[in-house]
Amino acid sequence: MIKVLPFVLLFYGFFRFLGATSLVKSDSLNVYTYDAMMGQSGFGEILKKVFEQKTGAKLKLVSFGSEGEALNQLVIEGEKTKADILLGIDSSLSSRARATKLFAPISKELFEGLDPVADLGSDRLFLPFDFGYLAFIYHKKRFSELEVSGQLSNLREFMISKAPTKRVVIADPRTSSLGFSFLRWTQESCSNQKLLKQCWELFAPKLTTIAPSWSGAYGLFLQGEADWVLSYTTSRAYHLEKENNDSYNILIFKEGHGLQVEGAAVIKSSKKRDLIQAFLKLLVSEEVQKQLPLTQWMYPARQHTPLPKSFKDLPNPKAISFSNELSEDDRKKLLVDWIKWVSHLK
Amino acid sequence: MNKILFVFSIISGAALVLFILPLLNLFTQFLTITNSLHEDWAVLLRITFFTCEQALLSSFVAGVFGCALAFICFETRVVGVKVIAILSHVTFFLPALIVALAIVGVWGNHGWVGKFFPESGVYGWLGILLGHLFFNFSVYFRLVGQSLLESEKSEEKVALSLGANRWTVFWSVTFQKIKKSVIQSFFLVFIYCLSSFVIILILGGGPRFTSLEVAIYQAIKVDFNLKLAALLASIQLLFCFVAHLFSGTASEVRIGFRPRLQELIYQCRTGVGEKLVFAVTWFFFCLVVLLPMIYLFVKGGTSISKLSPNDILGTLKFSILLGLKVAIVSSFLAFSSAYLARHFRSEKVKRWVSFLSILPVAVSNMVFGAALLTWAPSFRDLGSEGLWGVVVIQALSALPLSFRIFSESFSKIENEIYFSAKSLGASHSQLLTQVELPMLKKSIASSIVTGLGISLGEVGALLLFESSGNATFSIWLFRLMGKYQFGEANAVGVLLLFTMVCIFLVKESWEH
Repeated sequence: MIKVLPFVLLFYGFFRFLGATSLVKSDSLNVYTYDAMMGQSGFGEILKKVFEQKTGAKLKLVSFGSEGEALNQLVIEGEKTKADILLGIDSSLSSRARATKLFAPISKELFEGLDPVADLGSDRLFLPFDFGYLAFIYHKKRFSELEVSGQLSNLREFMISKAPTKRVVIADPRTSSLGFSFLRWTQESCSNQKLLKQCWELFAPKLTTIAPSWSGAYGLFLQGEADWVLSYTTSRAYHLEKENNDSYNILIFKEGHGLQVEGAAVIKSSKKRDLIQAFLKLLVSEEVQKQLPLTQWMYPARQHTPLPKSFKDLPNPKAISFSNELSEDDRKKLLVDWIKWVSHLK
Repeated sequence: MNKILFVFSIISGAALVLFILPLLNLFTQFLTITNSLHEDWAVLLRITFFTCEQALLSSFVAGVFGCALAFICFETRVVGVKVIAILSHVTFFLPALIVALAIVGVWGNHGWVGKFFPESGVYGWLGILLGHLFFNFSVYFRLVGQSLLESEKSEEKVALSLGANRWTVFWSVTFQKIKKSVIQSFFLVFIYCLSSFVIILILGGGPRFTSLEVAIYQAIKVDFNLKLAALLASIQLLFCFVAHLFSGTASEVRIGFRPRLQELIYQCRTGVGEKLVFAVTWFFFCLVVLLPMIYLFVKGGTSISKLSPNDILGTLKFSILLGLKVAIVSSFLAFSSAYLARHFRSEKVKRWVSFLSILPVAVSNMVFGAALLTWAPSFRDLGSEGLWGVVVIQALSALPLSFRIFSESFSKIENEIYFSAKSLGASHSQLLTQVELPMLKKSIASSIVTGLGISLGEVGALLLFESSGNATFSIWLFRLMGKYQFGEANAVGVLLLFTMVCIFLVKESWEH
């Protein structure tokens, strides 16, 4: 018996492989997305359920660790990819995604009725479906609203003022899209490179730590390790909605807040045009959009979508969208410079 | 060549191909287009220097603590050795993010201990060393501890009877016996620390402390710069190769927990001394290991009720089934390689088998996953819901430890047993089934538990390959954190810890 066992295992593996490489059914849609969409009662599950009910076709959600990894997989697979749609691409990745030339433009009528702030470019390669404002969250018991809003009217002041903005935790721009969007926001807020460098050099000593991801940063903040955490204005809505907790507040800057927009993109090589159209239509329909606030904790891109009370009460800041798209070289240079500024390297 | 050796050679060769080809494919890209790399070499050099510096320091600190703990536990009669042994197993397999947050909960600015030292701050070297100490002291504890347990004490007794003091006996006799396991543990921990990521990012406190693994993460997951990733992975592999050369290929220690048979040489002579040793041991063990675990229990315990029993059972089933697949594949591969290393006549082949079996330690799951997907993108669809991709990566992660377990056990089978069996007419297959397998029963259990533990705590391969929404405890924990549910995430951490402790308890009770 022991002699044949390895061969049995090899044959088993071979046949499993054959089974796995069967052709994808034409009445199914393959959507590449990231892991946070998955899980029970996640946005992905809701979308799948509604899509399958409405069209009778299967929706296969293939998740990756992050939206960047999903895009990497598409680059590896090239035009031979089995994916039809990439769901969850955000503003920090859009230039890289555009450069791959893997995506096809989306029909104009799908953009109608979407909030103008949720903009991912005029070439219609990415259909925005949600957005959020970056913001610093603090605990009310640490500072009064008056104390912070009286002193800080813009991001630059927050970064350079001596008090009360000590002990801040942010996500690392090298490993987190939120962190990178924040770096872009600081770039927009500081009019030139010299000022940007100064701001970061003065901000660096106030950073308790720089976490690899949003969850790492927010976890540290909830543990009381920091007075401020970089997150979204909608974080307050989560605490109000799920914990009935009014203790967490948002620092609102008069000059506005950086914006993060998420969108969907259509793979050029996909032949399932009708299903793709049906999916995108559903994605920006009110029925699905109204699920976004309490699953993704982001604003729906469709205007006038009914919002839960916790969202209605949130302040609506002015949006700062990043005026120019960074090339890959500029993006890398910005990150190298950032490392030098926060590490005080010459 | 006997048939079994042939079959195991084929299996090990196939595994090797599956491991080497994707990496070669990745490295070829780097070798062909090196000129087009536009990196800041000064920054890269600094990162490499820091990576080595932190790995050396962390290995040293973990070594001092792990060896001292092993010596006190196995050479004196400290109460609770078994508890320490079980918890030592568990720390190694926990997800890094939950450990980092637990360490901050104890040592951070508002932590249980940290609040008494507001000026010192955990972020920086202290945090990095504490994090690595939590994870890696167990490598020393198990390997050095086993060496102490299995060493004969007659030489120490003679030295003592000739008038040498216990300190001299320790340095000139006992330490010489365990020196090799100390060195091997040092280099093993050094290699693990080389690929540290979350601990350095969170507890380091910023880009001042950037390791090669952070640069690899950026190259693979953010920039998708495979050339740079290959270059950085080559540096890691080079360090691994050097470390392997230093540590030597043959090993003398075995992972496992055996009842002690030897007499206690270093037992305290007075009751007060014994109590002091007990207090000091447990004090440091609590500070470094137990408090972060208790923190996790306190934060997560109250939220367990918020988790649905169906979700818990579903996740437990999925985690265990996946873990068993990983454990079986890694044990089978490790057994094949160890069998080759034991039975091949050529010393050169033995050395290569040994080196290649521990090589996966130096290649992080992130690098191997990227290499695998670049080499064969359809690998993601292999098996139902891409799970074979996860199994391959996790099994290769477990291979070095499992190989070490089996090779040690093989080396313990005396040549006389083989000669006797052969002289009685036993074939190679009879030798395997009636001599070697029964003698390796405990090692098989140890290897399976190791594979199971690695699979339970691993996240990277699952995020890369599992696409259907199924979750192990670790993935569930990450998903909850991504949705603000930190209390529930801690509760899942508690369940993960509890599952691991149960698995190790079952293994221990089975062994005895």
